Amino acid sequence: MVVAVRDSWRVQDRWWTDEPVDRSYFDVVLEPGRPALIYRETSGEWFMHG
Amino acid sequence: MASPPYVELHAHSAFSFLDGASLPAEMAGRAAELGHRALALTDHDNLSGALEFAHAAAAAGVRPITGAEMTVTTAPHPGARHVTVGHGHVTLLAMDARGYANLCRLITISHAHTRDSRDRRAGDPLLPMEALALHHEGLACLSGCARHGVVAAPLAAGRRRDAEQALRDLVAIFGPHRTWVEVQRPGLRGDRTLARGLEALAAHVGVPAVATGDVHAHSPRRAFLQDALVAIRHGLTLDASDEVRRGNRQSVLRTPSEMAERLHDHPDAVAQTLRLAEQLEFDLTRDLGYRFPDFAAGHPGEDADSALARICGHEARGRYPEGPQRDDALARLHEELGLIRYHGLSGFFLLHRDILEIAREVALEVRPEGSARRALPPGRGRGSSVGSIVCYLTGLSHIDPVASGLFLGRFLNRDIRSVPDIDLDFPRDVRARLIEEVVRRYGSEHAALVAAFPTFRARMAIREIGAALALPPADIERLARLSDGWSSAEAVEDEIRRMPGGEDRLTSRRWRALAMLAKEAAGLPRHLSQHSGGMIVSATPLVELVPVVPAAFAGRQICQWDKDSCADAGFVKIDLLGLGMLSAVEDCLDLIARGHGRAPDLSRIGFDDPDVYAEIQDADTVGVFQIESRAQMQSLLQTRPENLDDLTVQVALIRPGPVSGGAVHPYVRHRRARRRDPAFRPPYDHPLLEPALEETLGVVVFQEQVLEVSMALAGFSAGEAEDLRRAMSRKRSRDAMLRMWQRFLQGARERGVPDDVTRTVFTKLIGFSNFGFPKAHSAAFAVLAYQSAWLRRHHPAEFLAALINAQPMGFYPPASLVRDAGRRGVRTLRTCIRTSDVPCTVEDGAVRLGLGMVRGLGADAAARVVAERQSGGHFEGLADLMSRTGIRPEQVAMMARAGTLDPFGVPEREILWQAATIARPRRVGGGAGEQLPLPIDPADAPLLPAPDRIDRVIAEYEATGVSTGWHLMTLVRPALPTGTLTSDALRTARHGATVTVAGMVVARQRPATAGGIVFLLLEDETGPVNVIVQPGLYESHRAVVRADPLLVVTGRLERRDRVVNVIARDIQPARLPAREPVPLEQPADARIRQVVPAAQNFARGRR
Repeated sequence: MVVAVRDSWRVQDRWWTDEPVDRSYFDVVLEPGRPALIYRETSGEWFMHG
Repeated sequence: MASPPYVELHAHSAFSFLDGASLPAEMAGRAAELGHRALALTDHDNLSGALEFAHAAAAAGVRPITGAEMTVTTAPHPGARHVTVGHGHVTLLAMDARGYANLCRLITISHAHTRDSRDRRAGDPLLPMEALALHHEGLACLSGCARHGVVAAPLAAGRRRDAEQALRDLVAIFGPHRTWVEVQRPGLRGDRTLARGLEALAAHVGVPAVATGDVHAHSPRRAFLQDALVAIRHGLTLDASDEVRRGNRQSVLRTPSEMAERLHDHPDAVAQTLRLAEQLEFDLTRDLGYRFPDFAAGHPGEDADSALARICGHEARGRYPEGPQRDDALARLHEELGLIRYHGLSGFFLLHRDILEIAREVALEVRPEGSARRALPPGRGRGSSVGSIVCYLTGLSHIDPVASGLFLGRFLNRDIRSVPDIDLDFPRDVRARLIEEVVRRYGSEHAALVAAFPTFRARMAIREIGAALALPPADIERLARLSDGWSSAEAVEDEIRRMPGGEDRLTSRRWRALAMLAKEAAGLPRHLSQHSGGMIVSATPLVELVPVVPAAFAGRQICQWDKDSCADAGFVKIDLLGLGMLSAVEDCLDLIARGHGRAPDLSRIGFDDPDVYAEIQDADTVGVFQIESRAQMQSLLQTRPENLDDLTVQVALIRPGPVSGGAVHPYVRHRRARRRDPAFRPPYDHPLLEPALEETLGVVVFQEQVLEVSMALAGFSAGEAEDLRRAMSRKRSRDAMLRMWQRFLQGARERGVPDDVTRTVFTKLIGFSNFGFPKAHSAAFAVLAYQSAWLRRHHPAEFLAALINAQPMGFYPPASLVRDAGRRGVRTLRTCIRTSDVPCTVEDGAVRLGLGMVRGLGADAAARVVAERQSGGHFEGLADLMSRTGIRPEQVAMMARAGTLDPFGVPEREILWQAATIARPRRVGGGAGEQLPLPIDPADAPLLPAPDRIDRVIAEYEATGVSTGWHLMTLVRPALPTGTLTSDALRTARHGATVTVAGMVVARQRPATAGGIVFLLLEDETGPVNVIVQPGLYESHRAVVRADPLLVVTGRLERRDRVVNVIARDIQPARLPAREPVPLEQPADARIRQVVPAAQNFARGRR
């Protein structure tokens, strides 16, 4: 469970390559107080970064 | 409707040059669509797009705010107070007229040292903080963008004390009521923390924070281009430019609500945008206070009106003695002076007269003592001003408008809304000094050249964007060469498709990106450049009206507005243009005087020499001003001009305007009919048009006729008609044109003109809008055309020498000029170490090429050789030459190839060997002394094979661009297909026959008005051959047509009237005869490709 969003940003890059990137990143704190970096693809899918 | 919650106060257009991806008009239009009530344009260190933006925004209902994002530096200056900020950005916004003037001054100061390097390459503008302290009044100061702002950058780097000190320094200058801390949320990692930190810092120092968007594009699509432009600006690929790009596409114009939502953490900063915008009252469309220089009275109590009347009256009495024209002239003068008084323009005419006086002084300084040129006027008028009798009487025009029946309305009428243009042509040397002198006389704060903004076109877009996309350099170069260099960048996708494997390439993202980005970039300004000769002079300091920056050319400075913005600002633009043909004519007169003791007086030669017209009618006009091009020649054969009036029409006829307005063929037809039957009356679209179009046989040839037609058919006033003409000639004028059409239609209906006729006539006028000459301009050029034809006919050697000396100019490269003169009996001699001067001269009736033509020798070395020969006598040999002049072995090599050293009697290859073995004088002892120039005999050369004829011809082209001996085609002919005809033989070939011809390509043209047809002008040893290449053949043989220097063409001969063309069916490169390869030398085919003279090659002609 996300308890806090510390920062958010958008990466839209590499659009000229076969692997374009378009992600919304969130620097969050999860319930036990654990920091995490997650992102959402334009498809709506969520991923944990790293 | 509720007021928008946010005003955008920080936005860049493409005038931030490679850091902005939209035109000002696009920004303004999009802002209106998104519901903005006001928008600030804040380009980097310039106001180049400010006026264009202000007008576009006002028209779209958006209040324009004027500003700039400046780069400030604290680099130490003598006596400067120490300040603690480093390089960084601040955003300055004009609150009032004082603030705008200060902004212009600050930008001017920031550019003052941008051309200080030896090569005068443009450096980055930097504004010293102490300048900001001197010129801050009336300006609002924002602390700059999140990445590079003077406050944000140190704060983001963890240097809070530096950030605070930077802010306090700004507050010390602007005070707490004119300083704001900029808060942005560009969607980058860490921007939330940074924005909070900036807001806290603002509160701590006691100044408000204000939200801004740092916009760089008007739409998300252009954000892709913005990425590419930033990579180009830094000379990086997109892959390698992560550090300098934003990394997302968030810096685009959004709705005010979206921006308020994005910055919802900072409600006060958002609200502050509205409060600050209210304080920014300056409106550039309204508040610019320009005045042209005041008239300085020559007589006590005399004002400008009476001074101009006095000068013109005095001149009129001299130029129009009693006679039939006197009454007409005085009536016209009375009318013009009345109009000039009405518009308050007497001072404007007197200003131009003053500049002409300066030009007279400059001309005497530039033209050497004893030169035939000293008696000539310093320059000549061109453009619509030539129709003015006031210009004629004040020396600003050399054409009598009464005798020539020139129309005044295009230049001056009661309804004019902007200051008319007076254009003056000068020989290049006079013009170069005059520009410097005008700045010196009026002061560097009061005079500057007008700017031009080259835009992205196909070839530039392919090379720059292709490199940013890291596409293979060889493919990019091939694509660039195959593309039409001047065509729009929008066509790049088509160009890629045409490449071998083009469709496959377009399946790749990078190639598709190239096509997409080039299309988006089309028409965007690439950088600031210099207009061809427009100057602005101002009574109030120009540097408070528009920023002024140093030009690449030493001694010149440019204002940051182009001619359209200068016109919109009401600036008086004085066009001081350099005209190569004027330089050539003056040089020709000098050469004649040198050879014959005196030069002809061109003002007394008359305009009726039948020999001159005979040559013009036969299209024997290579080198003649304005009527020498391939298209002009074909037209001359049909129109057959018989007098100066015919030439005036001819000069204007072969222009894009009359061509696309459908005027050329009807004119030719009607002229032929008139030749057969002098009573022939041409048809008119409507009887109302007869008075306006009678002299051009029923078609629109001159710009004035657009005015006259719209006045006659639609009842336009002179002012409305001029508005129509201007709307036609300006960029992005579609809306204005539509409004004009409604007015035109209504007016024509009131005159009983059927709608279909009105539509036909209006369509022709629109077609004309591409580009046409005013009659007055054409009349001025026709005089020069005739004079050049006269000199060519009567003094062909001097004329050829002068034409070569004035290069680059005209339609033909020097090699073709030499060849043409040769066919007319003028010999051209190779450069000679014993007799050549620096420029070409005339020697016993032949043209002696000058040492200035030897490539790689350089003007200084050429002058040194001539001076040394004059002072120390002839050179004994190579060692003597090298020791006395210090020229380098590679310079000797080019002289040897050019034949310059033939008098030494040493074979060329032996000379090359010797040059490499002779020690040159060189600096010794740390530069304090020089090795004694002792002529040391060179080592013996090994036995080297002598070059053959083809080698010698190629070597001559390599060395001078000209072959004085064999024509290359004579040497190629043995290897041509059997039955290949020469240009001479083509004259007797029958219409419709299949022929094969071959030649060196002199011109390749694909005019926009010709529907994809390519016109080739080939030249063989007997003359020119015209080839027409249909679009299908062009597409299938594109590489050959575009690039091969020698062509073999098979096709159908077409003969119409006296015009002969070959309609190509097949085109192949011509091959040289088989020969022994020379070791260590490039194959001759490759050398030819490199050295065949630069032709008109799908590019603009040279003038």
